[in-house]
Amino acid sequence: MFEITRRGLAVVVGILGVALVSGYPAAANAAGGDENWPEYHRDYRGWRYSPLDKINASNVRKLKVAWIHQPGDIAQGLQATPLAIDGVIYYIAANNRVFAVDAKTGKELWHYYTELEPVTSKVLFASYNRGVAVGLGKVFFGTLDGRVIALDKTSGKKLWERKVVDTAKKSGSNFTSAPTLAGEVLIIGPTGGDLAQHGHVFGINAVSGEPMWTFDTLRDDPASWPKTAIETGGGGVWMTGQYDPKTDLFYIGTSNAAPDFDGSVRPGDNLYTATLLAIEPKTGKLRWHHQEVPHDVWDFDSAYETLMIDKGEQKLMTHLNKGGYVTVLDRTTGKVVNVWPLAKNINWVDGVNPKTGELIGRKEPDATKVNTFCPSALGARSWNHGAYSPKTGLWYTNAIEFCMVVKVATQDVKTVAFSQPYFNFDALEFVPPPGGKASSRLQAVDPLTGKTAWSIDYALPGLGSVLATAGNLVFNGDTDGLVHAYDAKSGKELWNFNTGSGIRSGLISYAVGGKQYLLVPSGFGSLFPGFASGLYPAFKEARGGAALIAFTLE
Amino acid sequence: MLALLMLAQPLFGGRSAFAEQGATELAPVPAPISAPSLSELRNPDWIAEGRRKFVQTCAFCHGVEGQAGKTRSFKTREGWDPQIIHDTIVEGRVNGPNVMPSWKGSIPDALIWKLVAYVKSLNADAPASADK
Repeated sequence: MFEITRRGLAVVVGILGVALVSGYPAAANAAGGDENWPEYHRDYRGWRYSPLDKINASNVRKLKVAWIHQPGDIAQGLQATPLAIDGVIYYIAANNRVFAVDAKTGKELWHYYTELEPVTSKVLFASYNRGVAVGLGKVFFGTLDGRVIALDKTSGKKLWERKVVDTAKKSGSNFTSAPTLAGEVLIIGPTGGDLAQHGHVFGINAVSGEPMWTFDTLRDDPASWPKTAIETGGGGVWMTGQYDPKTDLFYIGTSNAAPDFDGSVRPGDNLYTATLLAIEPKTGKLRWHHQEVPHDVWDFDSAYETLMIDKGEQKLMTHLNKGGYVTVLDRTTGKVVNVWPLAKNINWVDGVNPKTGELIGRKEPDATKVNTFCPSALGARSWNHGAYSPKTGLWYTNAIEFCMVVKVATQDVKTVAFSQPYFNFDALEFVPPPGGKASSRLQAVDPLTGKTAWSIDYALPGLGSVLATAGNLVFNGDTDGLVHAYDAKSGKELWNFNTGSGIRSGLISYAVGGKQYLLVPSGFGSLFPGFASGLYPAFKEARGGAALIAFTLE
Repeated sequence: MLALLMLAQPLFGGRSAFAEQGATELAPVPAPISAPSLSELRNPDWIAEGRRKFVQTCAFCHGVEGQAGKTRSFKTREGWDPQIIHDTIVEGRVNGPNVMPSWKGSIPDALIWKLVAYVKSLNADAPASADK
């Protein structure tokens, strides 16, 4: 088990793992072709962009339902981004139910219902999962009880499973996001930035399930962590990373440091929390890192997706931190190229140096009084991803404006209950920006400069991942359950459809036999609505559900 | 809804030295204590201790005064059976899409009753007190 691997042994295991892995061509993972959506963001660049254009701005209003598949369990809704590969949809639903469905008809080909350990009734991050990875003839996913499982993609039969995190011994740390395939290395990170535990990134031989390497997200260095705090410092890696075959690097952002608001127990820069990592996938060695929020005391994770955009010779990446800033970096070296604010209300720093990413004028929570910070711990946006269109050059992302009132209170870490979030606050409330109103929007913006092209107000925060297509379309689902289609250039709404329950998932588009489909996983859930319902009472009554809905033109 | 599998390996081991494990792990489930009286639940010391635990453990989901979360505000509740509050904390709850974890074995039963005392103190029918 990874838990007992010492550093020296991890290196040996890593070397053996490299010897076993045969080396990988760049296209080993992706089933090619415009018609497929073979990995989480469709491709490694994080664009969530489909090159299909049969469904386009002139005919999108003619979309009709082609089929519906329901997983039968609605706990925490349906949060996954499905994959579409060669006429088959692969997706994961509540409580790690995994399905393969005919992409033309919605007929179920197979299902796998994971038998979960009893600890899953006690975990904070319960029931949901954001996706599977498919490649090498297999379907891979992480479980709510800390395992990684590989199924045969044709039959759904289990090929191997590996206990990677002992959830019962790690305060409920588990897996809730899709793993990433880098050739024959499967890479995955657990939840737990907010838990009293110590996170890692894991590299696994995708063929055999054997562990290859473990990367410690909490750097064992007195400048980063005192010995008393490192084992409960958080450092989760709770979202899906991205493997770039051109740079041969795996990029992933880490969570906040724990306890989330109380820096007094962890003096130091708290590397590698709130940090972008570039990891060599065969060895787990760190090539470069950029810490967006040193000594984070606001719960400002760096976990969200990156967009990879090549500008001439420059291989760039853009990355949104929960604290509201987007950093643009050279993804071969990690050098900062620009930093621009997505959030309109930012007061936890006076600013960020756009050439270096250095924070200027930190304002930290303290234990003597309440303070208001913008954005809130729920972020300038939630984890739901944006989409990028190479045709318009625009990034389409949901964004939220509200703030938090915080007062720190230290607690004895030994009294922290199992799977209790390790926040250390005496007061926490979500509030409108000072002197203003809470607001939400879908924004079209230049990802390198932050220049806004258009923006549409939403009554409630948009919590679904955006889809952009070559048909000059942008699709975004809202928390009432409407999926909207907009003209990608102008933002004009062209169509919407009421799916009956809020969208918290990833919309995709694919084709079979030349016929294009829009696929919408509908079904509200996740922790955000409950957290934010003091500010948005409508969230209390929001209906759950789980249905995968496919649309076509005819 | 959950298909539970009892594995051979023990999941609920003893609580080992925290520094070694670096994590909070599950302890053996202690025997529950008998339900306290309503007057015990109104003890200001119980309410204060319950509030401290509630804020650190429950407030991120429920709000500091039980106003958030996916259930109606605790401040609107009347006649809320303390045993039901206690049992919900112990067993957790799955209600449609909404999932609350079980705290059995991770919060001692005596402290769970303090949480109940605090939750009851928020309700619409709680006696007015200087602590509120």
